[in-house]
Amino acid sequence: MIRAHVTATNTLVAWLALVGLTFFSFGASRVGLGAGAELAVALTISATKTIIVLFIFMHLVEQRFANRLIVIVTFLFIVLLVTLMAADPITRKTFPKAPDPSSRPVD
Amino acid sequence: MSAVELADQFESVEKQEHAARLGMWFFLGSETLLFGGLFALYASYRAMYPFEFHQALLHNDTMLGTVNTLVLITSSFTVALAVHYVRMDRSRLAALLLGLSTAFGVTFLVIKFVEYGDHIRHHVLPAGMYSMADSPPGGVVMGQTLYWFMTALHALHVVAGMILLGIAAVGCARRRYGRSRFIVVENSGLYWHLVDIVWIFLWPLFYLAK
Amino acid sequence: MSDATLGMDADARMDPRGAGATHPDYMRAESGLRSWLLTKDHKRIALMFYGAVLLFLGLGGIFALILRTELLTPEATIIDPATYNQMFTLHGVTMVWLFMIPAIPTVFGNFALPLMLGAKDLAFPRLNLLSFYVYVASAVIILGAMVAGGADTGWTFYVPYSSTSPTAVTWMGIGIFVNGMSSIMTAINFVVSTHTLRATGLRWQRLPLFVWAIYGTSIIILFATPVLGLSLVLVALDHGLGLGIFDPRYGGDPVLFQHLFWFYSHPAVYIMILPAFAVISEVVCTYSQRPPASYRAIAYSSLGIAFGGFFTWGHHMFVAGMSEFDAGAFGGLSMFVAIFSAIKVFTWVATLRGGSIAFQTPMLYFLWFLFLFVFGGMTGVAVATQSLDVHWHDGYFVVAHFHFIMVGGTLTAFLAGAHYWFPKMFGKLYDERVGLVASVAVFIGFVFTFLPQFLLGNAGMPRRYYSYPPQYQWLNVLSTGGAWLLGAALLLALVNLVVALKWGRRAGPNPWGSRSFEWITSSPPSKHNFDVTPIIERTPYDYHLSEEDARERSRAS
Repeated sequence: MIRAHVTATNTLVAWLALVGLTFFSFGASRVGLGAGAELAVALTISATKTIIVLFIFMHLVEQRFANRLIVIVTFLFIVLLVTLMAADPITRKTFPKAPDPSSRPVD
Repeated sequence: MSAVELADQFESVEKQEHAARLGMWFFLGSETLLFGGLFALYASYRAMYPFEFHQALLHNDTMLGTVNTLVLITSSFTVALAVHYVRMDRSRLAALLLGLSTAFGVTFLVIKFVEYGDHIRHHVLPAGMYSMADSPPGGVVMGQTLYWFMTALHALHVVAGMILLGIAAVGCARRRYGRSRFIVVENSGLYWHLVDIVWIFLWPLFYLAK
Repeated sequence: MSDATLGMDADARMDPRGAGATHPDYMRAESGLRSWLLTKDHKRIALMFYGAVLLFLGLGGIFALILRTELLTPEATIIDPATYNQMFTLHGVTMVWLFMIPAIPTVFGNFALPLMLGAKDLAFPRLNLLSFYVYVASAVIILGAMVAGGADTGWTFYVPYSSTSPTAVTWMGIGIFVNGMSSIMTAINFVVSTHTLRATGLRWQRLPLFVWAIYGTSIIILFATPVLGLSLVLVALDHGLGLGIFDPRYGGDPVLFQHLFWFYSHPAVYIMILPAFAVISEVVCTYSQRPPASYRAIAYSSLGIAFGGFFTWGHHMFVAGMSEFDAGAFGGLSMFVAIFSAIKVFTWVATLRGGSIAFQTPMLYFLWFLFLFVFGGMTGVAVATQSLDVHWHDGYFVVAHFHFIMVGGTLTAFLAGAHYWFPKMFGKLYDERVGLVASVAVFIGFVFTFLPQFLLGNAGMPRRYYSYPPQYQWLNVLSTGGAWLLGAALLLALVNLVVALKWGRRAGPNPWGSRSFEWITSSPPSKHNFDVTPIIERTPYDYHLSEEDARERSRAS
């Protein structure tokens, strides 16, 4: 049963928001926050855009909880996979460290 | 426009449409995990080679990537509008919008292939295309390989999405779809939005390195 | 019967032969090859899958017998080492993807799930038919790959060997990818059907436990299979086109492949065992004429296994070069998943208490299941313990563990289901004595095949080895002897059922006196299952009701 209803205006505003966030993301990447922070900001903005696409463009705001649950579960599985897999190389103590460029003799 | 036929196993048309929608969401969840594994690979290799991976990203043209992002977002917008109008029974307008969205898809692919051509000219390739002698450092190569595979896989999904949109567009033009029959258009739209969402993540990961 | 229906008007009187009995049954409703090959009837599709999975069970079994026969002597016996490597790889690939994963869901799930929901078919009948053809296509590709060079990497396709092996790895990978697509189609159908096709009055808490377990299985399939698809596509590209994503020469890390592979393949083992649990829940309740000791324990533990199974994949990688942190995390998380299986086992046993137990063939298979699965499950917890796995990894202890679960668990449950639903599917009764004898022979054959393998593994014999030191021979001979007995016993079980197809006694709608909803229909059911959607006013385990009262509260006409 559709309670909320996405209008053409909602859709237009959503598009403008997405375009705005794209420029914001672009700008943020130019500021020079450092690799880690940059990635975090960029991914947060991407997540925000995704929520807009999901709820407005894909009408999730109108739909039953079952459909939203699928999105939540999908997201959680991806977080699980990325986290535990990337944690492996990050926490390996025996992985050879990159050679120090300054230690290479200049010829 | 023909009304929806109620299949034997469903109690009502409403249930039938809900089932089609629910099935599509499950399918989308599944498709997302396909890319999820690649995001995990990305995270792992980038964590392994923070400096060199970053070097690989510098090969990508931020301008072209950003334009492509705007192209896809706009195409998502036109698709959403199309679904909106087909629900209001304005099928011809919906068909036009879907056609426009497909054209945006073509634009995306053209830009992508321009980029690929550029990369090939600058010898920025997946790992296996190098010999041991001319290969860049390991982390750089892994970054490049992931770039090639992830964007290629995404491009494949763009093509699939365009086919679905095309089918929906033709159906709308022939007034097969309308207010009482639009689930095919809606589901095709859902697929296209997923393609957009994947790119929304690919873009910062591959193009926003300074 | 007539006394009980006095006072009801003729229209509401229920057919004692079951709902739908006035129509021809689904096998006779239409004839001709086209009506089978283009059917949308979930029951016919189930039968087509039945034939296919049995074929591949046989093929996988032949590969097993060849490799077991080779292992009769410490050195060469009947094949050379390269062929041996192919045998264990093809055995694994065939059994996992062409039998274990599809079998119970596509045969009994397809057949019984809509009946249990009180539905006339699944939500997407054409998708169901498509899933069959995609499965067949995957089998053709895999078989073609076997002929065109096969694979000798083990079913796990580890890089870097799989990227460079001079065999048909690329096509194997593609075949398995296509197989995964079939799996996903089935899963979507099952979950959507469960959400949208339940009969009037059929709340989630009144669903047969079979449905809960199949639902859990489908969730796993949906979210795990794509990652397998990805990992094999990457290997196929590595092998066929030299993509190099895992190639150490270019900075690639082979262990990352293992992460992706096992992210699917650990949940995959739950895809293989949860449907077995589905069957067991039904068999236990029916043959003890008791409701489950705790319905919620079994229902929710199915979901617990489905989700919990995703957190443990690294326990396959303890000695692969993974970090200590990850190993610790996975080791700890692995301890939790077994809790859900234990909950089920205890609940099933508690269900038997006070029951009126009938030792038909399915019940006997349940007894074997109980013993073998518990043994297998406990050894699973053991190998998931890091310190122990360092010794047992890649040895016969692990091989024994997973065969106890997969053969002792899943295959046993498959056989239980095959006998349990035989009257419903075919309208005939099989010979009980032959069924029981075959069942005992299966159990004995199994024990001789796989129990020695625990001892072999503990004594240090590695798996996938063509030759071994002479002191391991006697255990290998026992195992091979058991394998041949197991093969013969399975053949006997099959012959018994096939003979009953033609010469078995006619079965009534509910020969076992089950209260589950698929038994409402006639045996075999009509093409559309029910004339009218049933109205369900009881649970599927209301054994305190008489059969007549139970029928009254699940009226379908």
